[in-house]
Amino acid sequence: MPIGDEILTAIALACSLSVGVAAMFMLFFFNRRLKMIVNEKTANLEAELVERKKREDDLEMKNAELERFAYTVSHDLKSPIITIKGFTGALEKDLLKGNYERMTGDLKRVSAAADKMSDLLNDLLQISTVGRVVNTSEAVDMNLLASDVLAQLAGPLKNSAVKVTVQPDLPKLFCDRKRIAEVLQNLFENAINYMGDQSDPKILFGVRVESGVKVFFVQDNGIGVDPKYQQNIFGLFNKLDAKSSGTGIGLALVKRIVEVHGGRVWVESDGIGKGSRFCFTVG
Amino acid sequence: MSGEPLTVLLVEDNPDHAELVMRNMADFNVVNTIIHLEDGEAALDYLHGRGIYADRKQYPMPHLMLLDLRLPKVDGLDVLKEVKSDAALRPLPVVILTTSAAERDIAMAYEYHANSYVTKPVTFDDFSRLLRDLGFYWLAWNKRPW
Repeated sequence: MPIGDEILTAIALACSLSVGVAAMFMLFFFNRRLKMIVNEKTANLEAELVERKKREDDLEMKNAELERFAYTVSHDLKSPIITIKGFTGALEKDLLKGNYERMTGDLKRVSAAADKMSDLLNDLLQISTVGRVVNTSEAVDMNLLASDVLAQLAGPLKNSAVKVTVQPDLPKLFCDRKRIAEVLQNLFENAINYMGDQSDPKILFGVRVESGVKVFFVQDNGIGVDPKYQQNIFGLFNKLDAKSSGTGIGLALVKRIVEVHGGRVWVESDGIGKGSRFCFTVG
Repeated sequence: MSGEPLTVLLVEDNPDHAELVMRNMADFNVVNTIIHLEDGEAALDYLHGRGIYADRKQYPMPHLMLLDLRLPKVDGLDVLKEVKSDAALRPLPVVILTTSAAERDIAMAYEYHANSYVTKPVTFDDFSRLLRDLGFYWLAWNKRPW
């Protein structure tokens, strides 16, 4: 082979080789890019799946809550109707018989049942506003907030002779001021109302930090909560003592507000006579 | 009827409803004593003869229990479940008397072996008739376990 042909062959070989190498490189890069795209898409899909699952769980929880809500409302609103219809029927009978003795008492029952219904409806309106009407969150001075709320409760506090201590230098809390004021008000009122026959009634409002989370608490030395009932006291219209005043919305409202804030509420109590500590966090 | 005193245990947290039940039952001469308790815990204490209810003479075993469902402390369904899983208490006829017509409640009550499930009628006449019928059926017609 003449020398020129050899060079040409070598060049051709080199060219085809470099084309091959280039093609291989290109293949390699395309492959890598494809893998990256697939990985990225898979990650996106997985994230979306997780997100969707979370939304589904949330929705399921909300549905269950709504179902419970409808159940409670239908039960609790039907009760006064039975009372009203029952006693108006009794009144009618007694009127026909000229039996007047228990009429005043029965009329009172009818009237009280109507009042109860009106209270329930107001409470429902109040609890349904939480989460629907959201005020903007701000950094709230909790010492200031506590003293505002306590000022509103001056009357009941004086009547019950409860001594209230607020831990100084509480941290600021980023929250809906008006709603968290409602939380404090309900927790303070609860502490006052369930003091029992404590001769030295005390309430402490403070904070502790638990694995980096601020846990605010309202602690009292009142009647306490039996561990058996520490869960269901937060249910709508649930009351441990049927005779106690109020509709049983207080703690349900507290729970709703705290949950709308992404937080948690619970009670710590060693049982009857041991006082209670109601704790809440804000997410 | 044997002339033996008959006792009904009424577990009802709403004092007005309890009054309606007691008035209507008292109008018919079947029942001698109605014992009214306001929460599920007290009902279980009574039935087990525990604590302040230890004296069976003063607090006799009832011949019929009228049980509401939504009760403070221990829920009506939990009371029912406990009664029906206790060999000594199981024969006691338990009639659920409640405002709830929720399917879930009815299903759960029968799951836990309620003897009957009735909802509180809204009109006074129906309320009276129901209580009279219940009283006659469970305490007169029905052969009682004790």
